[in-house]
Amino acid sequence: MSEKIKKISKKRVVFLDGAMGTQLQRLGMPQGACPELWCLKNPRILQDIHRAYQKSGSDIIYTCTFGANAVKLQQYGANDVERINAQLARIARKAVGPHMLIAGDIGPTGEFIEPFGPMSFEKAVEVFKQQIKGLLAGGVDLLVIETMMDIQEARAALIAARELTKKFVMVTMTIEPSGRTLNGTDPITALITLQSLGANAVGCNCSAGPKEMVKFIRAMKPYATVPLVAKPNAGLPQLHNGTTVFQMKPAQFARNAKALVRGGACLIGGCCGTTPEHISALKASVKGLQPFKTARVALSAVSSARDHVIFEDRKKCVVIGESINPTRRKALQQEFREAKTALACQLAKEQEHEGAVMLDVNVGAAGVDEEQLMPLVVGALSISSSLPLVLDTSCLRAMEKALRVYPGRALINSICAERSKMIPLLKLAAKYGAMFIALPVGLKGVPKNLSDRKHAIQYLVSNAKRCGIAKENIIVDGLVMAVSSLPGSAQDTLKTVRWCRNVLRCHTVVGLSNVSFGLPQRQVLNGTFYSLLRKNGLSAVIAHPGHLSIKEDAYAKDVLMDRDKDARRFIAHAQNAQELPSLNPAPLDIKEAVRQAILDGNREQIVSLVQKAEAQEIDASCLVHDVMIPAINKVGEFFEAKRYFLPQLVASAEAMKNAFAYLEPKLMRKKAEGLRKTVVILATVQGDIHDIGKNIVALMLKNHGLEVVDLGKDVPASRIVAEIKRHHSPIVGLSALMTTTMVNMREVVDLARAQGLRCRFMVGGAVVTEDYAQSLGATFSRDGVEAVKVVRRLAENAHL
Amino acid sequence: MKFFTFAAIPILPRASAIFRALGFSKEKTLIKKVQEKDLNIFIEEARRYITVKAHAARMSITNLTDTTVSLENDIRLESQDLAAFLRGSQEVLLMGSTAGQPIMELIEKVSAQGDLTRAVVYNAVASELADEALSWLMVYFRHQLRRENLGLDYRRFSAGYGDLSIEYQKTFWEALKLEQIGIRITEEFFLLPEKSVTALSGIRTIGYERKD
Repeated sequence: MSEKIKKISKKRVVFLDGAMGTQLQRLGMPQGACPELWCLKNPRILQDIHRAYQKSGSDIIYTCTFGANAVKLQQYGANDVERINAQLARIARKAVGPHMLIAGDIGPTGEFIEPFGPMSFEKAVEVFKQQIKGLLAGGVDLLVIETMMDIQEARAALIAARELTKKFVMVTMTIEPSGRTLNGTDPITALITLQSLGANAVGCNCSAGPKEMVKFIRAMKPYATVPLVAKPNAGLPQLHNGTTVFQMKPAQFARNAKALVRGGACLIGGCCGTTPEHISALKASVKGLQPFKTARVALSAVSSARDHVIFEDRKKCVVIGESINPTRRKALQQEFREAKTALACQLAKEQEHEGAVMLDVNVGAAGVDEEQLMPLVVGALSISSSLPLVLDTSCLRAMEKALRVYPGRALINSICAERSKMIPLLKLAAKYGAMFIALPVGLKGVPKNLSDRKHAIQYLVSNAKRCGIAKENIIVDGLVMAVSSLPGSAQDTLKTVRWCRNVLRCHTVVGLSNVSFGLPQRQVLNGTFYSLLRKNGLSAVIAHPGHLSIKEDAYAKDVLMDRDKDARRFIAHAQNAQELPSLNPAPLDIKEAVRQAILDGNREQIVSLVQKAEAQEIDASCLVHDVMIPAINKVGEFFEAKRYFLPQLVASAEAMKNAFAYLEPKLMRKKAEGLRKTVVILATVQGDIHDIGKNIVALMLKNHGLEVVDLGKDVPASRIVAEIKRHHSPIVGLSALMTTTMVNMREVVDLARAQGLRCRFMVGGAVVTEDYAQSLGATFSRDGVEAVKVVRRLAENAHL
Repeated sequence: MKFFTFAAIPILPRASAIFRALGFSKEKTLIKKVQEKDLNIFIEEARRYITVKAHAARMSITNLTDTTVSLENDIRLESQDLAAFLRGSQEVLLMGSTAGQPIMELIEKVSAQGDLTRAVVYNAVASELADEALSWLMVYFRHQLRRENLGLDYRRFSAGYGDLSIEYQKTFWEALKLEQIGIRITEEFFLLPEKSVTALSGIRTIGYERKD
């Protein structure tokens, strides 16, 4: 039957059916009813719908089993999942006869699956298996897994299907208008994951209507190794006079059908809100149009739940971060022994920041149960990072468990040519659709020369082919050895990489750092070797991304090309090597540069610019008053006019603060406009823990020459009052973010007044209003810029 | 009552929304490429410290008057505004989400180091993600409810809105068992970690044009 569908889809567009749920509701299914149970009681209505779709020209109809899984049925008190599915499949068969193709429909359970939710992955697989057994018993010709918003749930259903049957399986995801599923998977990532895992057709259903879906199908087309499916809804339902109606009529719905087919869809139909009339219109509109023929048999690509890496699309070498490996990392070893994952997640974040696009995951250490830990770490990393993972373990069971729960298409690191290890791993790679790194060792131990390497690689490739794995799914390890012990090995690696690219037409990877083992200046050697490898066509490198440089060094090059016996010249050069000072031309007008640094919020360079001004004998006081204060005032003006927004204001204020901190000891202690000795107390009132706004006010006030005593957050009234007395502060700034804590401002004011203090209060915070401030006898300040003005005003007439 | 747990809501911060929350005006604000790049780096840094967790519960409305909303489990909410908001609904979807403690610790750390620019951006990212999680939950439940012929209101309501007392924050916190996802509540009805939110929305039956 799979062949039949494939055959039709090569010749013409295959037509699926339209909506079931909305049709049932139109035909009288009461609100809140379970569609599957209602259909079992009303089989004729269900048969009428199936027949209507058959008449409309559908080649494949879906059984009414979208929610017939144990989780959903349990909500309606039904437990006999297999029987219900089998019966509904038989009703469909009875309606449309023996020659029509019937797809067993499988929808989501409504629960999230680990690592994104509480349901275990194996439980999800079992739930779907139970349903699929029923559908198969009922005689369906193929299966369709649809309306999936969680790629992990789609994977669970697909694995369940593949473990029970070889029948044709379609998987369609629901993509939101944002271009991703609700769980963040984009169409290409979903395609890579699902087609490699054994889906016979992949696509989208429901979503936001046919027009939106064209974009998603088009995005998938260049990477598809399987036919693409499009089953859009009739737009989103609109509430009209208290009734929800799908407003897209058949003609309007069909208008985008040509674009869907031209975009790459081979199987098309309708979802929510569509009717047999919509399917008829769809069919008529694409009459004579030839479907897209998938030219690819395989795709060199990996994926996570939210992202993907396509090797052929990448002009740059793919950097695989190597840090999640407990070898020589005691803290990580300890964490893994305690089955914790926080440090691994932190390392993932750091490597991503440093430029890694994939992450190698190795949990092997003494006292670690890899079989338990590997899936745990893979799950944690799948949440905290969007980078695709490289699963690096020699434990077969750990590898299978990790491949099973990994919500994407992984890269296996690695499979060697030793037969007893190779075959089980190749079978795993085939089952889970993973790519793998082919390590050319094992056939005759470690290869002694290029010929041995080629032989081992070809052996691996041919065995992979026998397991159904195409060459595109293999990345050959260039096998980097230490040049200190094997002087010619670096050249062998370069030749291997070149041969793989030009002759075998296969991607390559190396573990870079091994090349420099035992030599000084390892980063120079690694960087030079990396550069040479890239010139020879290297596809990926496993390395610490922060240590990767691609600068060539002539001495290092001679070592790697075996032109420097025992690396003598390189070692001598390394001993004499000195870092060259960096050249940074000074700006022409240093005052203008300081001004610009404040306007730009250049916190890093302002001090060096001030130092340069100092070197040009510009007086510190003059720099502050003629350059810096006008600049920060300009920033305030820009902020008030919305030309700057908050981060720009704060960055400028911090640049000013850094410059001040440097200049302060050098400045004559003059009063700045009579305000220098004015001490302003700032506090977030008791019960409130929000202090960012208050911190910004403090920064702004300090930048304008005021002394600020910042008492922090959640400060009791008694302490604020005590500090007012201690510092003889004429001005007090109070902050609160919540209505429940705003009332504590009054307590502070009342206590101060009761103790005879005549200080002036300034209040602010998200919920504080001008009226509330007035009710306290205080002055309201909206933000940091206004606070400076308010304090200046209050200071003019302040008395304690 | 049907209860739902979400261990890690897969949402990403939207720079445009974060910029807007920080006062960016498309028409007026001028920003240099290098500044924008820095801010995007800060947003990305914050994202790496946030795993948004959430709980949700579908609860039947047992009684609805002009001034009171009664829910199952003996929950009674006194509020004219909420009662008006839920008019026509049969159930409520109660939701609670948190951006978690690690980002709050990071904000504290960078603030203490004097890096307020980062703190301001991190703070905005955490706020945006905690709130965006509720939007995500609403889209998720809308998909689920459509099959039951039910619709979810596009608006949501929180304790402290209108005349719904902030004290109900504790009622929601208890009903949603938010302690299980690391959210505490103070005597002033603050949720801790700071970037934690609750809200509810109305679920109502949607009618279809019937052929019969």
